[in-house]
Amino acid sequence: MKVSKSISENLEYMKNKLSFGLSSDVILKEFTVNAGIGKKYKAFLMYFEGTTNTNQIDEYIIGSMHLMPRNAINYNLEELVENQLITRNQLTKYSELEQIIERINYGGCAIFVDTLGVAFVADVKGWNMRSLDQPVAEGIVKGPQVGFIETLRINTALVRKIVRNENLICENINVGKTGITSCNILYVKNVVNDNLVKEVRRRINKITVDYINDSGELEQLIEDFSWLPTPQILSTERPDRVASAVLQGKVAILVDGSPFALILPINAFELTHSSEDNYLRFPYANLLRIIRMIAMITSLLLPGIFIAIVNFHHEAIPLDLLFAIEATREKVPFSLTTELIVLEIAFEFIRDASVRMPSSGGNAIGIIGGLVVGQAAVEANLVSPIALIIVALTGIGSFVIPNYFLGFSFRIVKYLYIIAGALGGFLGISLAMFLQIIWLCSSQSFGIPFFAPLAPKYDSDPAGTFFVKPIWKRSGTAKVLSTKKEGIKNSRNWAKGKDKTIYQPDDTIDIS
Amino acid sequence: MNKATAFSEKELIFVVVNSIITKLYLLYPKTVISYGKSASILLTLSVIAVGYIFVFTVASLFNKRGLKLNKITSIIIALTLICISGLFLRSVSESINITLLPNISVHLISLFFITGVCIAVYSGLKAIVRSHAVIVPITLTVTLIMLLSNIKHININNIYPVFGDGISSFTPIFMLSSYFSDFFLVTLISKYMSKNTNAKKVIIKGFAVSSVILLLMISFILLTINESTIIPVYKLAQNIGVGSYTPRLEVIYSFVWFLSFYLNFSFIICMCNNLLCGGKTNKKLIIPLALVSFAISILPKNTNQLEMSLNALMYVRIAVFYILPVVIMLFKRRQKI
Repeated sequence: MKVSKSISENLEYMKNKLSFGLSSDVILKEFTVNAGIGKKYKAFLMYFEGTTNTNQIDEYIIGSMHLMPRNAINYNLEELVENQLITRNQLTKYSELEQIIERINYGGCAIFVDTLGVAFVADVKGWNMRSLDQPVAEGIVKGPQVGFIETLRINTALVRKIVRNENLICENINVGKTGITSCNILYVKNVVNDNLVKEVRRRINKITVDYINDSGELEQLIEDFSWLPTPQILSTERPDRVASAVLQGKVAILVDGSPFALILPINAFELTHSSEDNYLRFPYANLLRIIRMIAMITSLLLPGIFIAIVNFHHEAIPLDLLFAIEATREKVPFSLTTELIVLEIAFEFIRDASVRMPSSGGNAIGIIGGLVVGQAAVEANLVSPIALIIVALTGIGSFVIPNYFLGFSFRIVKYLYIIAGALGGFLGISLAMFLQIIWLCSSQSFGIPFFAPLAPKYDSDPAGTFFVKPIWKRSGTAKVLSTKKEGIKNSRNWAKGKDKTIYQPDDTIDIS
Repeated sequence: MNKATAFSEKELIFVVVNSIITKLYLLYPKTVISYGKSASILLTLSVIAVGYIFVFTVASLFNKRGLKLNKITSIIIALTLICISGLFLRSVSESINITLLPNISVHLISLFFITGVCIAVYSGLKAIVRSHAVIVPITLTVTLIMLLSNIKHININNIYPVFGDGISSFTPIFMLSSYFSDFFLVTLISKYMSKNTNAKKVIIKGFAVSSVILLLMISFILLTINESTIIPVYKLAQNIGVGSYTPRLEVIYSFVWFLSFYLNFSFIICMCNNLLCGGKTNKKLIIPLALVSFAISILPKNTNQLEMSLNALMYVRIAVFYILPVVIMLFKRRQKI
């Protein structure tokens, strides 16, 4: 609906639409504006209290309107009001009432003046937000210690501050029919493949949903394979990770109200990387990667392999050790498979309880659950000590996985390996492993094969597949992304050529 | 981004290499050594030479985009492959039952494979071929580690007399080289090849890698294992010892063994499906094909019958994979004239 020239019509419409009187946070201020000699015009402004900065409204909007020139002759009221307001505010003119309401919903203040067929909306967002803090799920020792928060514009600014390139685009797309949520697609326009951006745009535009509150919801709406336990989009709360991803030719999505950004496309190996891998010297980073790989294999396969060995392949362990294991299990009333599954579920209880409890309570849960109950269960012969050790090692291994969401998928798939190991020993485990590899190889993340650069084979990613290259051997972009511009290959030019150094301490001595 | 959906040369090479590796895990080395005896290395070299001629002949049939087969040829090849895969499945299951899982019945072991194969074929040919690029390098690495671990067991006297029993040691050259016939399958995936991939190159390179592995495996088995054993490679794996906590590492080694079989078997069933359905995977046909293969696997009542069936199938294999390419080649030349 168009803005009417009659202020009373506009007032009635706005009161009705914003449920003025019923909704306690809707603020309506009516006043008169002086313009020209003896001329007075009725005006009103509307906004939501709490989403706007009321000081700014009082001082810069109402204050400015009261100071309108009273002696103007042959004036244009629309220009007069605009010039009066524009000096201190981000001001936009609208003629559609729906657009005005949309802006009011997002921290805008609408100003209507009688006889004008347009209304002005000043951007005076002013809600409270938490201050910048360390990322909760992606803590690192070396590297930037700042994470995203729930405010979209702050988050885009954090990325822009790192990228510092005018080609970084923050394209806005609104999602939701009833509740509108702003999302920003971030990409570097002269690097990213246009088709990738088009595909992201297409998928978001095709979403039909009432509302979304977090990037996690958007992730589920745009991912390729919902039934695959492994995440196909990288969720991160680190601006530095988003910055390097967009510079490599990927796309990031920021959702207003979410401290997690989505990076896409990704491959399965990127989920096992940490942003610290880039900041540490490569031998240290590789050590961490090897530890992570062992931890991941442990958290995924250890219970299944243990069951397979004890139940089917006794020859793999020395006879004495086998007897020792059987001796500890002699009085346990359950089968090894039941025992391990029950213990794994108990461990999940402790893990989930400690996440939801306040931090002080979380520690207590760990002590009670892990030490007291565990000890008591062993003494009561409900579980064997070796099974407890296996479950504890599996749990510790899962904590090493750098991506929290990949950890979830490992927690699910682990049970399949336990069942497979119990049914067919190593034959069952290899069946589960084969199917997992097949599924991962058949998956894609926004058109990119999920197991690339291994299958299909491509030149390695800048971050490496399994191991990190020295930084001077890495290139800026991954070939699999078919970026517009190939990233430059890092180089230490100072180490080339004849003049490798110009500084050489004089270590000669005069012996005369 | 479309480039990523086609198969690269490396992936296809892994496919042909895996088809040979799976045979090396089973009775093939035993057959070579039982015929060749101390001349097994020379016999293997001769097999490679004959195999090379066959492979080169087949490869010469290919243009850059592979070879198109007509309907009858496709059906003949598909039926042969299903029969081979059924008996192959039984052979693998018997071996696993004897060596690793004596408490599980042979047919249940076969069912494990059939389940894996059905799900894999449902995931599609691309997933199967790409999985080769993940699994085969691991298999090759583990095989190499196994061979290196056996260096200390080498007894050089095992190669004497160099010519074994004379001419009789070299009579099964043609039969043994027919195992390379699986290379023929590469032609069927030619339409998935990326533009830069050359089917001929894939076959020649795959043959080179497979020959090296075959020669290494036979040499190590001949030089390290004296006594007669059902699965020589398994015996090689048993020789690996890394301390008192893993006295018999062959159990760990069996992982890659199983994975290779799953891959090869899935590939064959997927190929049969494609051959019977004009180059496309028909999902409705996957389970029937797998069941036919399973039914063939349970036909032999005991290992003796299995061995007889495998021998009979050898002649069919030779006919289909040796004679058929030559016929196609002659037919093509006549058409050109």
